[in-house]
Parts: sequence; structure tokens; C-alpha cells
Amino acid sequence: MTPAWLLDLLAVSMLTVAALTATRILARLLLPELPWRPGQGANSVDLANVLMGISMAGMFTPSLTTLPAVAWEVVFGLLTAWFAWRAWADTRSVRALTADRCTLHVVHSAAMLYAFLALSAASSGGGGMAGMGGGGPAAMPTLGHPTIAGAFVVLLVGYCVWDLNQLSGGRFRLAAAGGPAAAAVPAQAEAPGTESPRREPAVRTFVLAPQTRVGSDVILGIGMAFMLVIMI
Amino acid sequence: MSEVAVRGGPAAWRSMVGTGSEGAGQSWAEAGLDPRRALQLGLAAIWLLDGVLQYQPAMYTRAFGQMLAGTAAGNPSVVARPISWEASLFDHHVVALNTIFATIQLLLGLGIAIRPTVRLALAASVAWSLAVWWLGEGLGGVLIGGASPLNGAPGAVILYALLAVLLWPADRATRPRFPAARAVGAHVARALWLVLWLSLAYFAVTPANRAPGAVSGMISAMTDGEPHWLTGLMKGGASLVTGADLATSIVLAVALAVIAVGVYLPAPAARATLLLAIVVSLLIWVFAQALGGILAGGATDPNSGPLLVLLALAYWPARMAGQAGKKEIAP
Repeated sequence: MTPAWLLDLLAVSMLTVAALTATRILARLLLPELPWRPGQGANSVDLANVLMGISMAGMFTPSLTTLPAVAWEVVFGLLTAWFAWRAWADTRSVRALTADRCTLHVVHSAAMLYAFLALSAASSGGGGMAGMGGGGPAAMPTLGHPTIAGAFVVLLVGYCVWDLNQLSGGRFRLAAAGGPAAAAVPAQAEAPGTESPRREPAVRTFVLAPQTRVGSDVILGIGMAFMLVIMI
Repeated sequence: MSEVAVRGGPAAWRSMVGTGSEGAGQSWAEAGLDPRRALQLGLAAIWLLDGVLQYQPAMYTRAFGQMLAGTAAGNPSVVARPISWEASLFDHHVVALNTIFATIQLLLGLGIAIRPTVRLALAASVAWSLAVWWLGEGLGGVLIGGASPLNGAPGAVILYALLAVLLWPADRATRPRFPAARAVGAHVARALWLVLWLSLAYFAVTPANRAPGAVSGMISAMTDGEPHWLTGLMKGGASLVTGADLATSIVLAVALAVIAVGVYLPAPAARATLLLAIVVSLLIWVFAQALGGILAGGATDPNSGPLLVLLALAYWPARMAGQAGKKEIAP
């Protein structure tokens, strides 16, 4: 049996990501200089990450369960459809798809939807999901259709590795003007003699930096892969 | 959709991974994605998967320690004694040690994926792989006659070490003909390939592996707990070779020997043999290794199939730019 403290640690990690991302959403809503547009993809990604963090924490540690499985199935069904639609709408080229990271969020949402559906199917007649730490080996849920779980794990691990490679090479920056772009843009990009941009507070820069979002995606991806693997 | 965009280019990649831009790396980088870095990322993904697999509930039971102890059987005492000691230690501290093992593998994957730590992680992966090859796999069973290319000989984990060496971010060769040649040179890389695949050819026809029922039995034994579609495929494969185990072993050995010498052939022929290597590796992975047993739960790694594919890609002949008519160079 995977030790409960390890699952608790993972649950805390997921909640930390959710809290960080929620702070990011709040900052975008409350800070007037940061443009927020309803329907902006970036915000739906943040919202999805918050929901994933909260739901995964509940899967790792049953005492942190917030909503019934069927509610999460609806949530992740909608998110999968939303990101799939956005990916479809952005299908100008394969490059556009990968650059906008639509497919990553389709995979994340679909993996969560699969996990809830497969767990519900496995526990039907058994009084609902116990979660992973649900008191002994007998309570350990097992996913149906492990081939789908295996495919998701491969995709999730692949995305994590790819993102870490990109992230560690400093390849992410803000596409839009304004915001904490200075965090990701190299110093030499600034022309000599020009006025330095206003320095952002470090905490705000960290919360809003695109690197933080990609890092969150990586942590959620690893957590999701872990969750699927130990339930195969 | 996202505020995240990508900047930088091949030059930034080379500077980060220490591949250099002078001569050797240039033609690879012009393709957009440095093939060696792509292969490193493949290796990182497999390490990451190994790490996650090691956290499975089955690894936190005494059965895992007993499995480790079982690899000592038949080995010389100088090899077996440390395995027994380690298995005993594992038995007493299963939670702590398994968590440490899993975390190390997870960190190796993350370390290779993160560019500033790629050298450290690759070096550590060589040391870790050698330790696991001995203490966790009993040297892959090569000393006890049980090794077979079908069951992952010469031990999947030693292939991680080989890949780490071949994908080391250094450029020894001035005009690398394939990614694996960049770090150690074409002659050494080819020799390593030859030794590996000839040893696989040899293992395919050892008495234990060409005995009646050996091949079909090995395939059938892997079907437990697998999904229906995979069990069906494997049973179909087992029924095909039933009664023809010797012939199967000989055909497999010939194919492996052809693959072994393939890297010494001109580029088109080399490419064909590398393609054969990929096909054979995938067939073995699906039909004999059951995708490493991952879908049945309790697997520690995806076995040798994906690693052999990664290795074959590391020998794929380069299309050298900057030369008259973009001439292809044999590996």
C-alpha cells in the first residue's frame, strides 16, 4: 500500500498549486492594470488548474473531498469540451495548437474526467469512491480500462518533460504587452538609453509569471500521472 | 488562448545543453529540434515513468523484496551476496527505501528534462543504473543462462546507462554521423551497438531459450492481469510460435545479428536495419513483454522495448547540411 503520508503530501502539493492559481485569478480580477477579458483562454486555464488541484487533493486524501464524483464528472466533462472546442477553433496549424497549449489542457481535463468515470464505474455498488487513502488495501480503488490510463500517463509524462525542457531554457514569456513580462525577457532585450520598466513586486511577479503557470501545469501533470498509475 | 508564448531558438538550446554550436551540432540544430536533446527528453520521460511506477502500492509490500532476492538465485556468490543483503535490508525498511528509490528515479527524469542539470542527472543515472542492474536485476540474468531478448536481456536498466553515455552532451566527433556518435565518436558508438545486438542474438539461441516451449511459454507467462486486447494479441502470438520455438529463436537471432552489423553499412542499408531494429523491438515489447506489464499494475519499468527503440533512433544517419547536394552520410 502506498503510504498515506505520501498521498497526503501529494494532496498538499495539489492544494498549493490550486491556491497559487486562485491567487493568480484574483490578482487578474483585482489589479486594474492587468487586462482581463471574459472568455480569455488564459483565465479558463487558471480556473481549470484550480479545479484540478482541489479535485486531485480529494482523490489523494478522502478527508479533502469537496464535491461528489458526479459533480466533478460534469465539471471535467465541460472543461474537456471547452478546451477541445478551443483547440478546434485554433486549428490554424499544428504549430498554433502546440504553441497555445490547448492540447495539454484537453489532455489534463480528459484525464481527470476519465479518472472520475473509471472510479465511479469501479466503485458502483460499493457506496461511492473511497479515495486512495481510504483505509487499507481493500479500499484501494482500481481503474477500469487500464489501457486508457496508460495512454494518459504517457501523454502526461511527455508533456511534463517537454514543459520542463522549455521552462529551463527560458523559452516562455508573456505574449501580450504589460504584466510581469520582465521576469521572463532577458535583460539584453532592453535597448540602451531607454527608460527601465516599472519594477514589479517580486511576489506579484512570481504569481503572475507564465513560468509559474507552466510550473503548475507540470506539477499537476505529475500528480495526475501518479494518481492514474497507482490506481491501475 | 494562452498568454504563454515561446521564444529562443536552436542556438539557445545548444548553449544550455552544452552541445556547442561549432561544426558538430550545427546541422542537427538546423532541423529545428536537436535530435540528441529530443532523445534525452525521451530518456527523461522513461525515467520519470519509472519513478512514478515505483510508487505503486505493490512496491510497498514484502513481495517486492522477495522479488529482488529472487534475482540472486543462480548467480555467483560474489554477485549474489550483495543482492541478498540488499533484499534483506529492503525487507526491513520497505517504505523508506522504496520511497527513496522512487524519488531518485523521479529526480533523474526531472534532472534530464531540466537543461542546466542534464549532465549531473545523466552521470547519476549511469551510477544508479549500474547499481540497479546488479542489486535489482541480478545482472539481467546474463550469468545464469536465463537472459533472453524476449524478457529484456541484458537487463533493461543497463540500457539506461548506455543511453546516458551515448547521449552525453559533449561533441567529441567533428562531423557526427548520428546522434550517438557525438559524445563517444562513431567507432566506439558502433562497437557498443555491435556488442549489444550480437549479445542479444546470442541470448536468443542459448539452450534455455531454444528449448521446446521456451518462446511460447515465455509469452504465455506474461499475459496474467493484462487487458483483454493485449492478452488476445499475446495468445495469438504464442499460438503462432507453439511447436516452432527453435525456428523462432533462429529467425530472431538472425534478425538481431543483421541489426548488429547494420550500422556499418551505407546509409540507406543502415536506415533499413535500424527500421528493422525498431520493428523487432516493438514486436518484442508488445508480444513478449506485454508493454512492460505496466497495464497489469506492479511493473517497475516499461522493460527494454522503448529503450531499444530510443537507442536505434540515436544511430539514425544524419542528413548533413552544408555539403554539396545535402549528401547523406553512413553511420
